[in-house]
Formats: sequence, C-alpha cells, structure tokens
Amino acid sequence: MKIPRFVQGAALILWGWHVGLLVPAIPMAILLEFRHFTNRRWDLERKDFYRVADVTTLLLAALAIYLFLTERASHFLITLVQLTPLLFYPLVASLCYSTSTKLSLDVLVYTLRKQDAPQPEWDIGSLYIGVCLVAMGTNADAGLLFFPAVAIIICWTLWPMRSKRYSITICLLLVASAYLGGTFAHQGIHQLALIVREKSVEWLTNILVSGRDPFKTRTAIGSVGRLKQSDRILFRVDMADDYPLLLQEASYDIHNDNEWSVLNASFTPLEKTGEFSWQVRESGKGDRRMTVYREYPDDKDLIPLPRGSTTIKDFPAMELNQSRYGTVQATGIMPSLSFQIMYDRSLDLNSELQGADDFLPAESLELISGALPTSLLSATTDSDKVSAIRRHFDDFRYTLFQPDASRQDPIRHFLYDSKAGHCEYFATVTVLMLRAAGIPARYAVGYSVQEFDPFTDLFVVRRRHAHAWAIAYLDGSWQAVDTTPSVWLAMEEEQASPLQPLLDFASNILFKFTLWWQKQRLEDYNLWLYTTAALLLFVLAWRILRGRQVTIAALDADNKSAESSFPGADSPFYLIEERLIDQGMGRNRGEPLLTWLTRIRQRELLPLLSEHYALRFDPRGISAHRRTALAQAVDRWLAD
Amino acid sequence: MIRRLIYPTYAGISRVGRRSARRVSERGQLIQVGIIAAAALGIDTELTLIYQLFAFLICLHVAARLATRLQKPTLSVQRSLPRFVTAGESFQYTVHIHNESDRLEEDLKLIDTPLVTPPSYSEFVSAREPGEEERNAYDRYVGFHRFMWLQRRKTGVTTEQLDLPPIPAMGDVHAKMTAQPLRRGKVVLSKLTIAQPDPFGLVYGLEEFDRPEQVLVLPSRYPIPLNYVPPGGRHYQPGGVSSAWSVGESDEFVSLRDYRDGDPLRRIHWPSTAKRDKPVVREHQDEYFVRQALVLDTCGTDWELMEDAVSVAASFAVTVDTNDSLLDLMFVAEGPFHCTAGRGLAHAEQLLEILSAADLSNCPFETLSDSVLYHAPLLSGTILVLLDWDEKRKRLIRNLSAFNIPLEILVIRRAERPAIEEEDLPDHFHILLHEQIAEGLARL
Repeated sequence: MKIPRFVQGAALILWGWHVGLLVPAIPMAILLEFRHFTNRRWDLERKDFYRVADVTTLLLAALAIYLFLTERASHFLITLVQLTPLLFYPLVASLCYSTSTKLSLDVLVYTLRKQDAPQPEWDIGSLYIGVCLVAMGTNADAGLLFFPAVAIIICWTLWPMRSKRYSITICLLLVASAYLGGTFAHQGIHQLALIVREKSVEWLTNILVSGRDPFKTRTAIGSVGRLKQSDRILFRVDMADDYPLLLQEASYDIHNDNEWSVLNASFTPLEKTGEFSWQVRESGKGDRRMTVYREYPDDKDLIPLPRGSTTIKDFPAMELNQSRYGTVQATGIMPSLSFQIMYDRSLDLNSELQGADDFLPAESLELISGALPTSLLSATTDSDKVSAIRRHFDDFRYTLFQPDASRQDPIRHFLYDSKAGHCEYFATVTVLMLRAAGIPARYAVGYSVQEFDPFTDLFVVRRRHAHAWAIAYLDGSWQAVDTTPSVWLAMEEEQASPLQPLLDFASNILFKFTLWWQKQRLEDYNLWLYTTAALLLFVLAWRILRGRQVTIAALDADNKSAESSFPGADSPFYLIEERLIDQGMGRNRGEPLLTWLTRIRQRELLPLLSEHYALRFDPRGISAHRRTALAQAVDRWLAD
Repeated sequence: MIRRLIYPTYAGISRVGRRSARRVSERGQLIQVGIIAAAALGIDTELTLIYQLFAFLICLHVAARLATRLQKPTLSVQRSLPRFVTAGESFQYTVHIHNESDRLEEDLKLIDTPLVTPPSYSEFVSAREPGEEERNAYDRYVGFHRFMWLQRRKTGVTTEQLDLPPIPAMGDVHAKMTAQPLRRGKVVLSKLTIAQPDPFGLVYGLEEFDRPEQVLVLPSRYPIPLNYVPPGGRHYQPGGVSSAWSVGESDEFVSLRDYRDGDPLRRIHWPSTAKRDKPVVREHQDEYFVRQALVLDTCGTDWELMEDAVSVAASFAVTVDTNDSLLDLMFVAEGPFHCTAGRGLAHAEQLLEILSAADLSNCPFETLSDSVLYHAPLLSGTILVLLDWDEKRKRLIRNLSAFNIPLEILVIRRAERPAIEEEDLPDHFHILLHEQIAEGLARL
C-alpha cells in the first residue's frame, strides 16, 4: 500500500500535539517525509531490520517495566500506548529509508526467525499511522478535534487508492456516510459506556470487600453454603504495638434487611499539616507509629485506622475527608507504596454520638427480645451489660457454613436454632442487643491484624482477615465489643489454599523488590540509562548507515534493465498497445500481438505490426528511415 | 480429550479464514486490525478517546461492505482445464469471461476455489506434519497447523487470484490462471468467483459461479540417466504378445510344413492337407522380446516414503522403452494388481494414471511377493521399488534370483535410519534417501 506524501508526518505531528510531545514529533515527521525529496536509500538486509527490531523490543520492555513499577495499573497501559510511536520510530524510519516496502512478521516476532517458511509481510508504514492514531486517542483531553483528525488521516491515506470502478461522487458519499455514522456511533458508545459504568459500580460495590462504601455495606447474612474468602495479601503493617489489633475502615448505624448504612453522610476535609500529612484529630499525643504498606488500585478508597489515630503521614492524595462516624476516605490517591499512621491508644474513635446510634426498630427488638439473656436485663451498669452480652455468645459457634434452612430469616435462625455463624452475624446481633440494653452501638468493619510474617518482618493482612464487630459508647468513649469467637481466624486459616505458601513467597519477593525499587531514585541512574541508550542507538545507526547506499533511480534502472534487455524494447508500437489496453481491449497474458489485434478487430494496425516485428526480431534490425516512419505512423494513429 | 472437543472448530475456523481472505483486501485487514485494537484499548470511554477511532473504522468498514452492492458486474465465466498435470509443477489454464453488460468492467479479481476436503478425526490424529517436531508443545498438542497442512494436502491444489484486465462492454477476456498441484490424484476446482472491490478497495463483493471440474494430477517424476539400461534381455514369450498372460501358443503364422510326429492335431492345416493328400501343419513364430516388471511396494506406513516410491516408479514407467518390450506394473491395493504396457497394449500414460491412484495398502507384503513370483517365469528383468529392507523383502529377492531374473532393487529410506551394512547385498542394490531421490537416481 503506497502511502501518500505527508500523511505519516501529519499523523506524527497530530500525535505529538495531542500527547504533549510536539517538540520531538516535528523533527521526527520532517525526517520521515524528507524521504520523498531524496532518492538515497540504504540497501538494508533482513538482519539489519532484526537489529532495529531488537533495540525497539528492548526499549519497549524497559519502558514497560519502568511504567509498571511507577504508574498505577490503569495508567500503565495508557502511558505505554501513548509512547508507542516514539518506540517504533527507528523501525519505521529505517524501513522508509531502505529499499524494502514491507516487513515480514519474523522481524517483530523473535521465535519466527528460526522458521524456514516464508512469513506474511506487513505494511509497517500504514500500521504506523494506525499506531499514531491510537496513541493520539489516549489523551482524553483532545476533545472534539480527535474524531475529525482521525477521519481526515484515514481518508487521506485511502483516497489515492480508490477503485476506478466508482466515480468521485460515490467515494465522497462513502466517506460522508462513514463520518456521520462514526459521529453518531461514538456518541452512542460513550453514552452506553456511562450507563454500564453506573450500573456496574453499584453492583461491584456490593460484592467487593476492598471497595467498601462509607455510606452503606451489605453483609453476607442470609447467604447459604460455604463462605469463601481469598488468601490474597491486601497489605502489610509494621507496628511495634501488641497485637491483635483491629483496623477500622468504616462504621454504620442503620440496620435494614441485612444491610448497614449511615444516617448522616456528610464529610469534612482533614487539615493538612505537611505536603502529604493529614491531621485526623487535634487532641492526643500520637506517640505510636504504624507503617502500612498498601498500594491502592483505585484513586478513591477508605483508609483503615487503628483506635486513637491522630495523624496520617506520607499519604499522597488530593484530599482526605472524614465522616461524622470517624471514617476517613481519600480521593485522588497517587501511586505510593506506604504511609504512616500516628495514634494514641488512650483515645478512641474520633466520632461523636449520632442520632441513630441507639435506634432500635420494633421488629428488631421483637426479633432479639426472646434471646436477651436474663443477666442483661438485671445488669445495672453498662460494663455489666456488655459482660452479659459477651457471656451470652459463649454457647455460640463460629462457622463459615450456613444450611439452606437459614435462608428465610437468617438472624432468627442464628439466634434460636443454629447458634452458629460468621462475624457479621455476631456483630449485627451484638449491636442490636447493646441498643436493646440502652447502650449506643454501631456496626464496624475493617481488618484484624494477627498474622506475623518473619520473611518480611511485618504483619500481613489478607482479604480473609476482613472482619466485622460492634462498637459501643461506654463511659463517654467508643469501645470495641467483638463477640465473635476467637477461633474465627484459625478456622478461616484451615480453608487456606495449599498453594498459599507459594503465592505468599512470590508476593513477598515482589514486595521486597518494590520496596527496594522505591528507595531508588531514577536520577541516580540517569547517566547509566542515557549512556546505554545512546550507545545502543549509536551502534545501531553506525551499523545501518555504513551499509550499501543506492539511489532510487539506480534501482529503477536495475529493475528495468532486465525488462529492456531484449532488442526493440523501445519500439513506438508499445504506445499503441498501451492505448488499446486503456480503452478496455485488454491483451491476455502471453497472447501474440497478431492474434490480439485480429481478435479486437484492429486489422488496420497490421502493417505497423509488421514493422514492429522487424524491429523486434530481425537480427539485422531496421533502418533509421523505417524506424522514423514507424514512429510517425504511431503518432498519427495516436492523434486520431 | 480437549483436542477431540476443539477439532470440529478447525474446519469452521479455516472456512472463515478462507472467506475472509477472499473478501477482505490487505488494507481492509489493516482496518480490521485497527478495529480490534481500538475496541480493546478504547473500552474505557472516560479514560481515552480511542473509542472514537473504533467508531469511525467500524462505520467505514460497514459502509464499504454496503458499497460492494453497487455496480455489480454481469458476467459469465467458463474454465478450460488440461486433462493431466504433474504433481509439484504449476500449470496454467484459461478462464473465459464474457461481459454481458453494456458497461466497461474494470478493477475486478478472478478467484478459483478448489473443493476443500477437511481430514477426518482419525486421519488428523494419525498424521504427522513434516517438521512438526520443531513446533512448540502447545502447537503439537492442539494440532491446528497439522490440520491445515492435512487439509491443504487433501484438497491437493492451490490457485492464485488474478487481477482481471478491463473487460469491454459485451466483450470477452481469456484469463490465464495459475494453479499448483500439491499431490497426485484427482483434484477438483469447484467455484469461480469474481471479486468486486468497494470504492476504497477495503472489502470485496463476491459473485460466485458453481463450475466443478476435475483434473488428474500425475505423480512427479525424476530424471533417469540416459545411459541407463533396464535389467534383463530378450526372453521367450510363449504365446506372444496377445496372449502374454495366457497359457497356449502364439497365433503368429510363419509357414506350412509337413507333419512330424508329436505335432498337435489342432495345428493341422486342413485345406493344404486335402490338397496335398498328406498332413500339413501350420508353423508359428516363437516370440522373444524383453518383458520387464516394475514392482511397487505399497505395504508400508510412511506416506512420505510412499510418495517417493510412486515417483520413482513413475520415473521408470516413462523411461523404459515400451515400443519393443512390455512393462508389467505390479503393486498391491486392496489385492494384487498388475497392468501391462507396451507393444500395442497400454501406454506409459495409462501407467501414470494408475500410479496417481496408488496408495498405502493394509495387505501383507506376501500378497505382493506371491503375485510377483507367480509371473516370474515370464519376466526378463524386474525393477523393485521397496519401502523397507526386511526379511520378507529379502526372501522375495532370493526367490526371484532363483529364477535367474536380473533385478534392479531400489530401497527408499529416511536418512536418519541406521545404514544397511550387510555384506551379501544383491547386485544392483540401491538405497534412495528421502529428499535426495533425484541424486540417488542420477547415480544409477
């Protein structure tokens, strides 16, 4: 496919403009288009292209690793695609200035180089235009100009190759219909994507533990069968404190049909005390420090906090907001490996009493009234009431399995029949009982930190360490009331995959490498990086530039010499042949001229053909006079 | 198990691939690659604008598909195939195209489609693609490349697409198509297709004409040295040519002579006896001429060696002069088979036709050796093309040698097999290595 002049250059400049790399894009485009104004070419061999492709692959791999380690997952691929025109430029430039027009697939795929069979050839020049367009589209800020630019570049490329069967009007109609259709289509796609996103976010929020909502949480109460929890390590914690420790992510005060939510959903921004330091509360010493090693996949999430948190340090985010329930939510989270939390164990949750903390609907009271222990009814102090509730659950078992019988009314089944459930059952019933006893209480979710990993010398928190418990407002402060039997962690550990040690090992290795990598500063390696890249490119350029150079004219002459080696190749009669073919009287492959002229009823040309044959086949040739006469006769025929 | 499940999809994938190759041009393929890449990368419409590129490309593609319905050509086509072609050698044939409309038709393509025959599952499992051992473990297990190779081989011919010259209104064009037979035997060219591009040449509209025709592909042949002399000299042929395989005497009349004791009564020439009043008998010509046997061993399992053996046998079939001699072709198909050529009987062409259909046989080698030994007394020499050199074959050679029949023994083998290092190998014993057959025959 012959690419029209300036298309590649235009695509490159548009790419540079859209992604903010106009400065390198302009010289790249000029160099690429300059080939149309010079007839110098390098006679590159296949192995030369292998070298260029290998350097391109190395650069691509290096960039991919670098971006993988420094960018967030969603941005990693986009940034890589954005820079693809830069990476593939050496390959395209060497193809443009070589005598080849296409590259076979083995140039790009190393394993194919060993195979003897011929590989399919690809028009890399045209593909490069596509790469520029895709890379251009990675910048969502390009706005309204992107679509017309795409349409112009593609139609500009295709226009010279249009079929002779169709008039220009039909071609223009095709372009117009594609443009209009494309306009409606992309707007429709965008609208559809927005609807899908809206629905899927709601759905995902409800099923993913990591994506907790500060406003509501759906429990697995009522689910039957075995509850499966993942062994994946969510984050690691470095703390000098005694453990176990509960890290609370959120708390809720309204219970309704297996769902906990909050009555007051307002947030206030946390005060910044440093570049990325945030003050959770003003009072408290904050003499204890905890380092959390966690990479947030999304740019908006909740921060798990220990009781009495005062400050969050080194947490790069646009904003941190705290709800009236003490829940801290970060927005605009930037990639970072770890952050610190300062806390004071003498303090409690930074939250005042809310209106619904002691709210107990009549149906909930009816549900638990039969199960309230007599000791609770007779207790006079709050601490006695809490002790009575704790003792009540001594007869209960922890289980991850619920039989089908629990489907109808799971809480009732838990309280009166099975007396077995997982943490969400215990936490929900505890909150309801506390409120029935007149103690304000909330349902809290977060993680239990209990597993120490000697390899990294850190505590690990897995997905299955997610936990729910009750918090009660006792003696003017919020206290955790965790009534779940303490065997819950051990029981969940029994369910761990046999592959867990292997996966942990891989996760730990990656974690250690990431930790090491984070300490490295790219500036320290700049000299090495630039020297290596420059050396690679220099060696490559030297190997290529010292190759044999040819001119396009010389090439054409070489190609034509084979064709024009026969005598009489310059006969003027060929002009007549061309004219007749143009008029639709095609000559079959291998058909003698005499047969052809007879078939198309051009017998008046037979005398001229006779002279042409003499010129072609008579070993003595024909005289200059006869030759001139033949040329004049041909001219007359062409003029008619 | 997995392979058994996915095997049925191979034929579908290959059919879609063929149709796509006919329907979509090279630049159309680039557009399709663009559509797939843009769909994958542009899925998040808030993160990137690549979905807009996807929308334009898909609309361009759809519009191009619709545009192929415009200005459809009105043509009639007819193919003229040769009767015989040779395996491995490309051949040309003519397709006559007549434009039935009053408009110049240009920028058209002619595609000739062979009848594609997918392999059965048992064929697929038992076959081995040449060079399959160099493929990776996944490809070897899944076997898609093997399926494609086997399907190509069973189909037996590949054709090239041809850009047609402009066809004048109500005019004709004789297009010269080129095809490449991949194996011997019958191959079928089924459909002629005229492909008409959209305005930008991205996709083609196809007008198909059902024109099933078959061509017989003869086995490929190797040159035999000019000075090569087949084994054996003239040999008495009781009964002459016409009854060469029958018991009895020749009807070739030479003269009349007086009756001698012992002459059979049926030789008495009754009119002359009546005229001369004493018994007169007819004297017949004793027939002496060269009669060669060409024995093709089909009792093996390696189809590549079988192809070599057929080619070697075909090379001898066309080289041995059958003007003054007979050539008996013997091999085993479902049972023993023989055919005699020369001296007014079948010609070498018929032998090649027969050889083009020869295939590996399940019969034991004894079937072939018994057939050869049965006809041994009549043979003046035998050329044996063998697929192996084992005890059964050695026994046949010993038995034929007992008849004092000169032999030319050619054993086809793979180079990687251990060399034959016997000391008492028979005379005129040659080993022809696979992929070096021509060199081996040149040393005869």
